[in-house]
Amino acid sequence: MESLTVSQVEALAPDTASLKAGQGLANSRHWTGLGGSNAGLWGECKGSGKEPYKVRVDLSNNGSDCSCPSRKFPCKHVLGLMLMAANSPGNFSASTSPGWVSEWLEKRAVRQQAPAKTTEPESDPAVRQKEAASRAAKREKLAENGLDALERWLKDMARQGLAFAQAAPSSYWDEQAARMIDAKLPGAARMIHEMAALPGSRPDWDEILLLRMGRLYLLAQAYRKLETLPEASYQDVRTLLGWSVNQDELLATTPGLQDDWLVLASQTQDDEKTGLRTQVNWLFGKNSQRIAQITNFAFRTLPIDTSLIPGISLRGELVYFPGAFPLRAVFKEKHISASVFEPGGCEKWPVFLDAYSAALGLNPWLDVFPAVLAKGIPAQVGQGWFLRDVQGQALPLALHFRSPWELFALAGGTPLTVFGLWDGFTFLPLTAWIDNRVIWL
Amino acid sequence: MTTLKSLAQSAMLGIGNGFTLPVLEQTQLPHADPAAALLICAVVTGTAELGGRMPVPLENIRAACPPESRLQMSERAAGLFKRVLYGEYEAVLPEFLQLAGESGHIAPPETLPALLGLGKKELRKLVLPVLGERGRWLAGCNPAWAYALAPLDEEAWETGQLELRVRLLEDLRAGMPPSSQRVAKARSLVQSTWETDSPEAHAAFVAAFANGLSMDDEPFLDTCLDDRRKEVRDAALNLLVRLPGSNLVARTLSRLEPVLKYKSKLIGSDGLEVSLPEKLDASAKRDGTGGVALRKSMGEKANWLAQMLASIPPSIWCRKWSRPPEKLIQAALASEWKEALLLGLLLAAERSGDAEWAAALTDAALKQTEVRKFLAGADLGRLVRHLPVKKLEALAQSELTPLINELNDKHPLLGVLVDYPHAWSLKLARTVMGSVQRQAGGAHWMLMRALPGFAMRIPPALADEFATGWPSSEKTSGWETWIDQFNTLLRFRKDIMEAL
Repeated sequence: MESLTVSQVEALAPDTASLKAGQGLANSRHWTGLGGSNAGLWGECKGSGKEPYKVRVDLSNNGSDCSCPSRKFPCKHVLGLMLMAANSPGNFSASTSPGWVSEWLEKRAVRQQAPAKTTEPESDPAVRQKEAASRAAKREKLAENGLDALERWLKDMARQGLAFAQAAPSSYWDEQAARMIDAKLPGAARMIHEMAALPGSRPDWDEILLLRMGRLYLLAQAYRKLETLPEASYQDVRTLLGWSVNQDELLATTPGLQDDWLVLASQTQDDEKTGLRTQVNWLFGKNSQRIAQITNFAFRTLPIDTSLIPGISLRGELVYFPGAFPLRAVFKEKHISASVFEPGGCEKWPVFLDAYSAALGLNPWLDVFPAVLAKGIPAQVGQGWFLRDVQGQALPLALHFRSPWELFALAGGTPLTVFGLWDGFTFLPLTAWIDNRVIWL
Repeated sequence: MTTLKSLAQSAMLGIGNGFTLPVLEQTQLPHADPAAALLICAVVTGTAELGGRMPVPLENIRAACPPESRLQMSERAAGLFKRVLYGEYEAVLPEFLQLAGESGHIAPPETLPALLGLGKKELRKLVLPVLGERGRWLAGCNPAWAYALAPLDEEAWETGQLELRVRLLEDLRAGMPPSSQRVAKARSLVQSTWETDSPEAHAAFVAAFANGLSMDDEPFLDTCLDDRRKEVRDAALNLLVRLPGSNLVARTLSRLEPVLKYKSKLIGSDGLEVSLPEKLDASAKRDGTGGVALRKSMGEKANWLAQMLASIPPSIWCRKWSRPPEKLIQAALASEWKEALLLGLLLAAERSGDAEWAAALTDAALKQTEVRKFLAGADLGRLVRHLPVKKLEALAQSELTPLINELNDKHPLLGVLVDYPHAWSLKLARTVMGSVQRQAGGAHWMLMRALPGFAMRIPPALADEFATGWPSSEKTSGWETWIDQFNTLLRFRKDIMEAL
């Protein structure tokens, strides 16, 4: 029985209230019929109702199920069961699972192997194709009009000046972003929202805003010449503007990359207005030495992929989304593997910056460049923080990096390995490895 | 040369017609519209700049931290420590630090910045041992953490912040037994700058004398009774009471000589005869008698009596009249001035930290309602910290009888247990928790709410034992969350013990 550690279970909790409740339930006096096997954990938890809640956990990917009516996922009963397994595994007698557990586990295993086919109503393929083509043409027309408006808006901003943009009310940005949503260009809308937050946020905001304006303008221009672009760049432009890639089709047609994928870090962002939770996970392939980004979306308390916990390694086949510098990826199939390792990284910052330069050449819209930097030493100069390589070359750390002192203390003046994101200006550390330990910053 | 910076500067106030950019000609991207030209130029220049960025050379950096001589915590312990440090079981932090220090462990390096921030305040003594070489190395990089730098020298006395100076005093006076030479050094440092130091510093310095206190400190502390600030006078008075040979004690004793007489009786209990003083002289006021009344409900002169008693270690009375504390408490109860007598004796026991008197007074309060009438919960609460756990264990065993006399909201032992700040013994824990488990589910609101506090004092080894033995959940409605909290906390403390 290989279960999660307490801190990993905590990372699963949808909110602190659920976690607190789960901790209270992590005591054998609330449970009957506790059991575990290599595949799963189960138990029945006495609740307020007449019948106890049946709780089951799939250990191959931390999937779970509970018969309680809670909308939280995972619910406090699942968290309680998993916390108890982490704290006192002695409570779980190794045994064969009862029917209500083994049937569920089998069903999950089957689904894992064969992703559910989307069942579309049978209709004449010729008609379907024609309809799809007309839909696509409609959307292209909408996009073209939207991009016309976007180009005008950007040029207007250039004419009026960056100081004008700084003084503009939030509606100035919001309205333009809303127009992009109407034009079915959510990617452009996102970029406008990001630009809105820039003025005044850092000393060099004017340069960054101007660069972002230029990039967005370039994107609109590139769309006009879409047909002349190489396939990979064609995909980049469409994806950036907001065309979504059909994941089922992608998985069915593209060969995957088999590897042990270590989850390096997870960044979760909650949008207060819409309740949309975005989880960006960064993975590193043990043999391929490649980095991949898996982005998941969910509404508030609904489940987000529970197998992507930092520090966990997943064995499986990963498919990259097409692009000139592919980063975003999706798993074809995966299961939790015991092979946790420390990622290898670049030791010379000029080499790392060359790699960034090459990536930027392939995709000039590249926002962040993920990288593992090895043998870096954090150092403070004046009020600024740097990461220095073995040859004395240093990169500035991001101003909004929250834990420079923690990273500095961790290194103690000796080299460590850091995973982080380079935005072309500064490096934002997310994870550090030293002395066989891993620390999330 | 055109840079992103220069472009941003020219774009700050907007661009007019006729705006031209040399770089456009090089890149052969002709644009009639100057705004479009600016945007394209920005992305071309910006991309080139970002792509061509070089690292900055950084030659001199701080030398690496020397190797640790103490142990790193296990990864499990480090995980638990972070949960506590970042607020999950905040109350456990002092215990965790203490255990880690005693077992020779140091805190995980990434927690040091947070820990150094906390250590500035009351946790300093517990934080310093777990900082390790890394913590001291780190403290040298941030002036705000200078207090943790070792070793301290006398220069710190001349130039350091108040907290650093207090730490120097405490370091000099620490040690078991304290070195009289170092203690004398500490005293002479205080005296060397006394005239120019602030009143706040005076009070903090005098309080530091509590470490390694001896009769050598007495002359200086006695002069502090003349200080203009009440904080300084009170701090000195509290320390002088702990020295039975001090002049303060002798002076107060001679003042009480005509006031207090012990009367043995052949029939009935002995008594204390009191003839209250008519007035106070200036010297009595200097010694802490008079001034603000201890209790407004008592008369002025009764307050004087209590204040005088509070300045004498109570063991002196036992020797003087050859009677144990129990006997003297009963004699006090037979007196007309029993409230003043009991209050004075209680304050004296508290100030001098007399375990025997603390036990006798607590025992009397548990057994006699009349004593409880005069010694309120808050007064006893301060006293119980001087109770040795064996005494409390004996009290609990005599005051609790299964099914006949159980712990509940009305039981006076509950308040004593709640206020007791030290670790419980196995026997005390079993005695008390046996009773609590029999009462669980009943309408005992205070008892129920006392559970998390109990979980902080019970030996963690008993976590499994007390995880069971509760009435079934149908019978403990309302208590559920408190029992869960109790179990979770005790379990967590056991995890810490096992992980270290």
